[in-house]
Amino acid sequence: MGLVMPVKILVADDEPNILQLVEVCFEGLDAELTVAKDGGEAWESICRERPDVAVLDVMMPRIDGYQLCRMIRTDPALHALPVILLSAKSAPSEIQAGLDAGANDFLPKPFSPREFVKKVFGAVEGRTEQK
Amino acid sequence: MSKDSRSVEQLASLIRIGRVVSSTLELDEVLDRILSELLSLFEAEAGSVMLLRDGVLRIRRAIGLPDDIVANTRVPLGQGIAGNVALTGEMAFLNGKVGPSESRFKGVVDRQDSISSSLCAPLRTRDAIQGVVIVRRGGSVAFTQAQADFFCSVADQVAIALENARLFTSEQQKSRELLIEQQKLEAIFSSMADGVIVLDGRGLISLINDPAVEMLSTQRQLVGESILEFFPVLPLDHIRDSLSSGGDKYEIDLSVPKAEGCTVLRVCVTSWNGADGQLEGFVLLCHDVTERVQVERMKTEFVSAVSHELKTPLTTISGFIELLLDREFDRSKQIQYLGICLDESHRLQKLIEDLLTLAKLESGKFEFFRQSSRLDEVITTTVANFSERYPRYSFTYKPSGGPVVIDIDEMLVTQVLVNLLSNSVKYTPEGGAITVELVCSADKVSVSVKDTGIGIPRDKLPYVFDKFFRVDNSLTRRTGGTGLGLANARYIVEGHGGSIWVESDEGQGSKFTFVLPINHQQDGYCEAKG
Repeated sequence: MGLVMPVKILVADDEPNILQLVEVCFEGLDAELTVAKDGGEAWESICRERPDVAVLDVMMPRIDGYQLCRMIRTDPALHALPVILLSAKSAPSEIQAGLDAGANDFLPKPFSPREFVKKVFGAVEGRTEQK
Repeated sequence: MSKDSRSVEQLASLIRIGRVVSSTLELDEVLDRILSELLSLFEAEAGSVMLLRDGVLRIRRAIGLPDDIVANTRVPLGQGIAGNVALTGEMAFLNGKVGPSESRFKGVVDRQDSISSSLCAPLRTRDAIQGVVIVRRGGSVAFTQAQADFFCSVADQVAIALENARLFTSEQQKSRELLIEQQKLEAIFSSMADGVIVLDGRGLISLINDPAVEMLSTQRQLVGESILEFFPVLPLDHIRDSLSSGGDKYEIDLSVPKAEGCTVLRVCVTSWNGADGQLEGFVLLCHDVTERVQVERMKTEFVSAVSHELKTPLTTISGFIELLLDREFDRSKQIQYLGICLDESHRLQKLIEDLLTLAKLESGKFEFFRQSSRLDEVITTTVANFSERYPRYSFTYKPSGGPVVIDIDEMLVTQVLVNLLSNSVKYTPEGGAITVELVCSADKVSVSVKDTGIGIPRDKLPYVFDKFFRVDNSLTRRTGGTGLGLANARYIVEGHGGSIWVESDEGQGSKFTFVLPINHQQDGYCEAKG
């Protein structure tokens, strides 16, 4: 076994308080967190940082979560990146739209920090297992 | 006259009567001609046809009787000769005068006339006895039995004439009723706001009213065309199966493309069946529900937006509380996270208040509590409050020069000002300038709030006063807006009979202006600076 690297996580949300909540969620855990406050910033960060998992809010300025998810899936270098969509809108049609856009999972707001952390690490493990 | 020649004469007479009966359906004309034939044939002085109605015989037609007798004779069933014949159905053959003592005929009145012999036969139709026919003769010449028998045959002819006339009248009545029904239906058909299309069994249009023609928005000839030309997605076969197997109606929403967007029609299809109960065709009732569908969609979007707005601060509050319960944090962190929770609960509270205000304003039932207010003082106080609360911004108030008294709901107009100032603070970087100006003219006052903020892109300007519209979410979040402030401001200003608008250049700042009309009868005074 080589050196275990911290999990690189990108979280994008236009709510500063939610970003702060997410930062506190991963404090003291084996994770390297990057946050973005809109879809454009998130895309730049994903391309630059190559995270292990991306958590994207659906309703964001510039590029929304669905669109960003489709961009990830059609990029050869990024298409396998696990994506979790986050949204306060959680009607079955909205969840389906997220899965159609290529999201691996959908987490409705309000979410439990425990559940959130579990889902994020779970998504990374799932990807590792597939490798 | 010999017996043979009398028989020939009788036969000829019967044929003539038969012809009369079949030549016209006018009852009185038939009766007159029959009576005339009878009088001549039986060498009688008088003859009449009496008809039974409500248990009483009245003379319908007569020859040889005085007018007052014709008009006034009323013979109850069972009374007199005619009344007994009508009751028993047996003819009366009376030679010689019948007096009141004649036991067979109760209630016979001695008319003191010259009549000595009578023949009276019942007029029997399929259902009942309709009346009697009578011929009377004076002098000493009696009726023979052969004449009496023949008279019965003639009575049957009269009865046929009666039945024909009754059927004819009844048919005429039915035709009149049908015509009235048809006119009624035509009136309903043409005055309906909804479209009605009648189809035959193959789906070809056989009848269409004006609103339906308008709904299909076509100049084409419609009768005879297939409905599928206009509603290609109408599942006619499926509807036929559904209606044939006991369904009473079939409803479907159909979109019809129009020059200016799409019309949504709610089409209710019912079937009409032939005498054998088989489906003969369809009736389509088309109701324009475009507006209703739009309202429903807007309502759904609004509920979805409200739910989003409520869940967002709730995520932060419940998230931090869970973390505070799960983990150990030092005191300063605890205070920081609880502070965030408190801010977010204030945001929830503000959102709920704004929603309630919006609901009241939108319902149109909101009662404005108008009273004379010093608008200039309201602005001075509000601007001073903002100056104190946001010291990093430079607030300026340019008053109109004198006291401005206007009839307004002071609390709500203050709310408009607060919402506009909050909006400017949200979209103006710290250090920016916010200027409030009050301008007063003869018939209106105008209040503007101008900032040096980020401005609003031109394409977003039309949506600024929409509920939950935000130019930039992240800035709003930072300052805790609900997305309802400007929507509420518009409702309040419009509720005062005023108007509100925005001018903006992206990167240069925005200027919101609202104008309130002055009611000179109620408003005290407004001193405009010259």
